[in-house]
Amino acid sequence: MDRVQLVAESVSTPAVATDMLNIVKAFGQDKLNYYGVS
Amino acid sequence: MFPDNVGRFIIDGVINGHDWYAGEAASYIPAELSLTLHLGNTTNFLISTDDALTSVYDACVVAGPELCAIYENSTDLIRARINRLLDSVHLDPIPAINDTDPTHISWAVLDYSTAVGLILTVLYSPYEDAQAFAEAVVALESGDTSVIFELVDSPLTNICPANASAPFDDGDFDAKTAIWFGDSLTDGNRTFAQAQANYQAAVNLSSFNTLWYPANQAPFT
Repeated sequence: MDRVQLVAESVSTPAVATDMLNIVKAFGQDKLNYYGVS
Repeated sequence: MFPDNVGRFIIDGVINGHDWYAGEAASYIPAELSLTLHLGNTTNFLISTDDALTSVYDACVVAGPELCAIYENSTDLIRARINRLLDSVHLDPIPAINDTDPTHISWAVLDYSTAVGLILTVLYSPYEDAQAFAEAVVALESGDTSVIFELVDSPLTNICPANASAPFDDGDFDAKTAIWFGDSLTDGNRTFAQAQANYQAAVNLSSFNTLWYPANQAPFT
């Protein structure tokens, strides 16, 4: 059951948004430029 | 979340945020039931999809036979023609294989789900894709599968044979589903009867829900 909590905490929109920000920072940048199509 | 970290940001194809956070279950619950189940409103993703398809058929009638390969003199006749194709592949899926390059064999099966999925894809960019789709249908009607199979992805692209230089990507269904349901603020658990009622309401709203519902809503049970 604690695995469920761990999974839930890493798969949500806030988690994805945080990941994207970290990707931006890993490239040494500060602002996300993004064109997303769904 | 991070307004100071936004450079240039465009998202195209934004879904209904209320539906998203309510869990898509909300989309198909009849209004009276949604009040007792405390779910979101009943707008949903495929509310105008059938109308979009009709507009493509309408445009075909207006464009005439020179421009539209599946031209008939009424929208209903065009619709019937496409539905005949869907019924046919529903009973008799059509396989096709392209082994002209034996090191890069591709294959696909045009079954009902694939055909409906293809039409749904066309509806994302009808001005770009509808004409080619019409030509593919006509070719298929006369037994030539090559045209439509250019529009349909082989299930084994980059998988068999494996493309060792490209990262493995088998789609985002698992990630998307987990994120979507992780975001949900409601309990999507439904009884079988509720799921059945959901599905029926969904199909009543759009014929594309025969495809969309299993791929998007059904896992949320």
